Amino acid sequence: MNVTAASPPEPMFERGYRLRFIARLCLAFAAGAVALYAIFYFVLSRPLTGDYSGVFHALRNLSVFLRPVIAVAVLVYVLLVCGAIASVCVYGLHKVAGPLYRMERVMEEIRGGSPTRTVSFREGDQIEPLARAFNDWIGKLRQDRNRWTAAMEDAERECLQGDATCRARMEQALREIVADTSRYR
Amino acid sequence: MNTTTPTPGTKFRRKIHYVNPRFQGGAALVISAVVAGGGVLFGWLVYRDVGKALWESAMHAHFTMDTPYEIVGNALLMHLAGLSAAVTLLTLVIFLMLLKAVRIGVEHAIASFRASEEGDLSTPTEAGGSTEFRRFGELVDLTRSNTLSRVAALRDEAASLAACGTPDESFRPRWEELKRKMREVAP
Repeated sequence: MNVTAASPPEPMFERGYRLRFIARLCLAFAAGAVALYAIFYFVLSRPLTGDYSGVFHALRNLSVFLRPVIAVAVLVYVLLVCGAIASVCVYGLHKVAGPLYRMERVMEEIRGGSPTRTVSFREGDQIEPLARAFNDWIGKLRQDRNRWTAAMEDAERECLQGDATCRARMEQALREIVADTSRYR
Repeated sequence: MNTTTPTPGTKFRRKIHYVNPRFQGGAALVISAVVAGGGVLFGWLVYRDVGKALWESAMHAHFTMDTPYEIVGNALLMHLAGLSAAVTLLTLVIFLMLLKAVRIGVEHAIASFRASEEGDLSTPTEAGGSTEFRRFGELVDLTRSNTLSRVAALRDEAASLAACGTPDESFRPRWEELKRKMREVAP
């Protein structure tokens, strides 16, 4: 959709967007915690069998063996959760970064003097008021430019009726343009 | 093997999601750092408490338990709950701070566009909040100053044409050139 029409102020972020983002992060943490728990449960749930000596050695060995187990479990947790977070951030924040990116491209085209369109929005995009303000500004600028061009074309049309007042009418149009552009500072 | 050839009606649209590494990647890195820090702290605490519990059990206990999990299960679950709670809370704080930074940056940029609508193209945007929005604010200012210089050039040329007694033969080309330049404003 194209954001062109003015409407009452809207929030920067939809409530649903924020809640979905937080829910996805929580889901990633929960998945990581489950994986971490599963690894420890797998290692620690082996039955203690044998006599006193066997159990003593099993527990003592386990406490020595604990360091690599913890290292691997934490590594799996960190990799799993960080991977999920990276994807949540890339896909979730794309709804903010996307409009900014498109706005940057439009501004680049404006600076280059090439024809541009208004900043378009995709479904679920956030920070809509920013794009609206930008499109309003460009719209106003185009409105002014069209008025200046129209003033010059009106003067040209009057020139077709006769040369007597042609130059004077053109100069009048130019003075109107100078007055109109003087509000830009 | 898929040998489908593109037909004129087929749309190939590549949607790129990773458009802003500083913003999206930066947020992912900060949250990942919290997760990694939490994981390391968790590992150290588990090693300290669970290792100690297992060692003490080996030295003193009478082994009425069937598995080591029964000895350290509660401590492990407590640490796991602590890790999850801490990481979730810190991430929420980071996310809220990120939203606040975006909001501040966007509000400054909106104020700048509204001022531009009124003709003020020279007051700096000064979009705070985050590095990304400072950079965006600079781009906005660059675009505004570019527009201002175009409008100022038009004004000067129009004033020059309107004021001095330009000969007719050079007036018309300058008039046409002015019209052409005018079309470059907000093209």
